[in-house]
Amino acid sequence: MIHQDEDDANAAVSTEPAIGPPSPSASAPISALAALLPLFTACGGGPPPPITASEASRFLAQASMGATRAEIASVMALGYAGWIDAQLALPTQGTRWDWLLGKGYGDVANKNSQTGFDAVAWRKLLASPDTLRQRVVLALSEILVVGIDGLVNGGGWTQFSGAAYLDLLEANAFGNLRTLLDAVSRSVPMGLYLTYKGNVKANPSTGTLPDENYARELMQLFTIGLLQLNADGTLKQVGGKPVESYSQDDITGLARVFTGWDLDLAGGNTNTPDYQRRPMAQVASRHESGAKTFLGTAIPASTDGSKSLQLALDAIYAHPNLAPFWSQQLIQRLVTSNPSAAYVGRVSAVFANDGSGARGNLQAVIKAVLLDDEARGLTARGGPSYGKLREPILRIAGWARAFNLASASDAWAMGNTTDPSTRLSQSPLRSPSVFNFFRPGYVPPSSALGSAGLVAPEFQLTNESSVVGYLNFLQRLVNGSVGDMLPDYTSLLTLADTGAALLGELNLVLAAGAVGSVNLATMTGAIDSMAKGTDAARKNRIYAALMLVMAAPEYLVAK
Amino acid sequence: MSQSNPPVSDASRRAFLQRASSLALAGTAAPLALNLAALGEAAAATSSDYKALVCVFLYGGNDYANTLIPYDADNYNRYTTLRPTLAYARSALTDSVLVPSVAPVDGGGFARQYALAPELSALKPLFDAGRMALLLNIGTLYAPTTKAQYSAKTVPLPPKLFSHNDQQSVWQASAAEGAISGWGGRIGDLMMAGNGTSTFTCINVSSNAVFLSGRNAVQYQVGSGGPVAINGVRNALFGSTIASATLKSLITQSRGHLMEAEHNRVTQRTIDAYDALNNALAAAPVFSTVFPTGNTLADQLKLVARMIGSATLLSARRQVFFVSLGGFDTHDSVLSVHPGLLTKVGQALAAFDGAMQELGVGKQVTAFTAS
Repeated sequence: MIHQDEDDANAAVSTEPAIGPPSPSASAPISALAALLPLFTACGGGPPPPITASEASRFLAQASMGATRAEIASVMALGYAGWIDAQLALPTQGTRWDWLLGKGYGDVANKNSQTGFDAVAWRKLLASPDTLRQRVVLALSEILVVGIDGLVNGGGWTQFSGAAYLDLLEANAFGNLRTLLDAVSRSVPMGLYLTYKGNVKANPSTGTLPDENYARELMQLFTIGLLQLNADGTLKQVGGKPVESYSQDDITGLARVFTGWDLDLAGGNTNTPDYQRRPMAQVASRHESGAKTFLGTAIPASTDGSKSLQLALDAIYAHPNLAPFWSQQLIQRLVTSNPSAAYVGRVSAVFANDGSGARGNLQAVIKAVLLDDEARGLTARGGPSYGKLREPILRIAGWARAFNLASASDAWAMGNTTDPSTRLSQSPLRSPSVFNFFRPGYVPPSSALGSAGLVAPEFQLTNESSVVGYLNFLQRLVNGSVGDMLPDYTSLLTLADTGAALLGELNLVLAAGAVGSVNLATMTGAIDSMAKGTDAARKNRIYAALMLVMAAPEYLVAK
Repeated sequence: MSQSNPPVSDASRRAFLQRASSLALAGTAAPLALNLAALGEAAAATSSDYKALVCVFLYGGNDYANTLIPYDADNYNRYTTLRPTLAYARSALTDSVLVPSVAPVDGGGFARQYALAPELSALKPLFDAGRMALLLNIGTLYAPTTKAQYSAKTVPLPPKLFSHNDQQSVWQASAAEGAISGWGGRIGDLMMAGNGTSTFTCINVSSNAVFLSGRNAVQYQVGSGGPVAINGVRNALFGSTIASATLKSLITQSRGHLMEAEHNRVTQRTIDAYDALNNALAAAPVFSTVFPTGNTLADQLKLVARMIGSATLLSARRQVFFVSLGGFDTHDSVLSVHPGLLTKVGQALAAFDGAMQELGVGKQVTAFTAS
C-alpha cells in the first residue's frame, strides 16, 4: 500500500535523487532492483521486497547512531537481520578507560575534576564504528542511569568512574540482561550513585537501618517498575485498580541485601583510579547476616553478601514484569514512543524466552524490537502519533556520522552539552537524577498529545529555551566551528550547486526521505537563491541546507 | 466544584474555600492542596496591584531535620539522640537561633526553640525583620501520621509514598507522576485574564515541571540568562535572508502529526515572545543587590527578580514563577553535600529578598520552598 500524503514521503517508491550513491559497487544492482520492484510489498507470501535506500536510512535511524551512505548500502546488501548480525559480531573498539589513560587523565592532578569525561563519552557516540552497540549503550545509560555529578564520596576520579560505567554497559550490551544487572550492581559507579557503597547492616542498639536507595530504584527503575504489568505492558487491574509490584516492606527487606559493599582498593589507595573499574568487595562484618525477605522470597540467614546479591537478582529477574517493563522502554528508546500493546507483547515474549529458553537475551530482544512489523512495516507509521521526537544527542550524532566527523587532535571537545539555552539539554551520563533526562511516561502539558492519551518522553526536554539552544548550537557545529571537530562534506560539494540534489541527499541520509515535497520545494527555492559555483559559496549552501533539514518537523520527529 | 469562581476581590472565608476547592484535583482532597491554596490567596487582591508567587523547588527531598534544628535543651537532645553522627553541635547553632514574636507552644504548653542551620544564616535577618516565616509540618501527607498509623494503614496516605518522582508530582500537582496539571498552573488559570499577555503568567526558569501547567495556562520557560533568539531566524542564514525566512516558516508551520505540531508550537511561542520579553528585561531596573555567583538558584532568582522588575512593561499583574535546585537526595552524603546546598539556598533567597526590597514589592511577592 502506498501512502501519498501531500507532505508525507512515506511512499514505498523510493524518492532518491538521480545521482547515485558513492558506495561500494555491490549495492548498485540492489538499488536498481529497489527502484524497479517496490510493488511486491503488497502481495503476501513472496520473498521480502528489496530494501530501498530510504527504508534503509529509516532503519538506521532506529538501529544506529545515524545513517551513512556506506551503512545504507550495507543494509540494502545484507538485509535488516543480516546487518544486525554483522553489527553484533563487531568487536568492541577499545575502552573509554584506556583512552583516558592514554591522554594522561590518570595523572593524580586530575583526581578531583571531571576533566576528560565529556570528550571520552561523546567520542564513541559520534564516531565509533560499532554503531548499533553505541546506540544500545546510549539506551541502556538512559534506563540504568548513573549521573557523573552524583559520583561523590568515591575518592574522586569521576571521569574514570563514568568511563568505567559506560565500558561496562558496552561490554554487556549484546549479552544477557541478568549478567548486566549483576555487573551494574557490583560496580563502583552504581554503588556511589545510589549510595550503597559503604552501606552497613542494621544496628539494633542505635536503631539505624541500611540505606534503601538501591533497593528501591533497582526495582522501580531498573527491573520491574511500580505497578504490575501484563505481558503486553498494559497495567494489571484488580477491582478496576492497578496493583503495586512491591511494598515498602519489600524495599526494607531487599535493602538488607545491599550491605557490606565497599571499594576494593586491593591494598592500594585512591591516588590511582584503578579501583573505579574493579567490582566492589564485601566487608563481611557490615553485611546483614540475618534472613532477608522480599517479593515473597527469603534469603536464608548466614548467606554472604555476594551470594545474597545473586539470589536477590535471581528473584527480581524472575518477576513477570521484567519482560514488558524492559521491552516497552527499549522500544521507546529505539523506535516509537507509543508502541501498541501487541508490539510490546511480541518483544516481551522474546525477552521472556529467546527460543532456546534464555530470558533476557539482549541480542534477541534488540532484533525483536527492530525487525518487528511495527518498526519496519508501512501500516503503523502513517498515523498521526507514530514515532518519536529525536533526542538532541541523536540529532547531533546523526549529522556527525553522516559526514564522518573527525577530531584531528582526538580532543572531541563537545563539552558538557546540558545547557538548554545554548546547547542540547542533555549530555552523556549527565542526567539530573536517576530518573533520566525524560520519563517514559512524560506527557507534554496542555497538549493535543496529552488529550489523545499519548506519551512523548523526549518532550520533557522541549521548551522555549531548548528549541533555540539546539538550533544555535547546530549552526556552529555544521560549519566546523566547535573545537577541531570537522565534518567531511566532499560528497555534498559535488551536489551543492543544485539545491534539489543537495537537499535530496540530506533528506535521504538524515531524515530517511521524510521531508515532504512541499517543504522540499520551499527549501530548494531558498538554497537555489544563494550564490554558487565556488567552494566557498557551495559550503554556505551546504550549511544552510543542513540547518533547514535538521530543523524541519518531519526530520525532528522520526517515524 | 463546577460553579464559576467568585471574583478574586471576595476575600471571605467561604469564597476562599470555594476557590480553593477548584484546586482540588481528581483522587485527592489533600490538606496539602488547601495549605498551598492559602498561599494562592496571598496572590488574590484588587486588580490593579502586582502580586507574584515564587516556588523554589528543592529536588531530591531536603533533609528538614538539619535545616531547622530544635534548639531548646530537651528537643536538641532528642535530635542528637536520633542522629548522633549527623547532628550539628549546639554551639554551632547559637548565632542562628530564631526568636519569634510568638513562640510555638507544643501540646504540653512548652515553648520550643529552633535554630536555622548555620549555612542559612543569611536568612536570619529576614526572619528578624518579619519578612520570612517557617511553616512546620508542610508535606504530602494527608493527615498527621504516626508510625503505628502508617503500619496499620489507618490513615489515608499519598499515592506512591517514598517514590521520589511521584512525591515531587504530589507536591506540584496533588497527584502521582503522570499528572498533567499543577496547582501553580491552576492559579495561573484564575489569574491570566488579568494579564496583558497571558503568555507570561506562569514562568519556569528551571526545567520542565508539572507545577506550572494549568487547564489553560502553560509554562513559559526562560533560562537564567534570559530569552535567547534563534540566530538563523534573526539574521541571515549563512548569508541568505531567504533561507532564514524559510527556516522560520519550517519551524513554526502547523502540522498534522501531533508531535511535529507540539514541537512547532513551542518554537512559535519562543519566537513570538522574544522581543517583548527581551525588551522588557533590558528596560528593567538594575539592582544594587549583589546576587552570588556560582549558584544556579541565585542565577534563576535573579532572572525572576528582573522579570518582576519589568512586569509593568509586560502588563503582567499576577505571575507564578518556578525555580529549582537539585542534589538534595543526599543519602550518606548529608554532611558533605547538604551544607553546601543550604548555603546556596540561603544566599540566593537573601539576595532575592534584597532585590524585592529595592523594587518595593516585598509585601507583594511570596517565595516559598518545596521539596
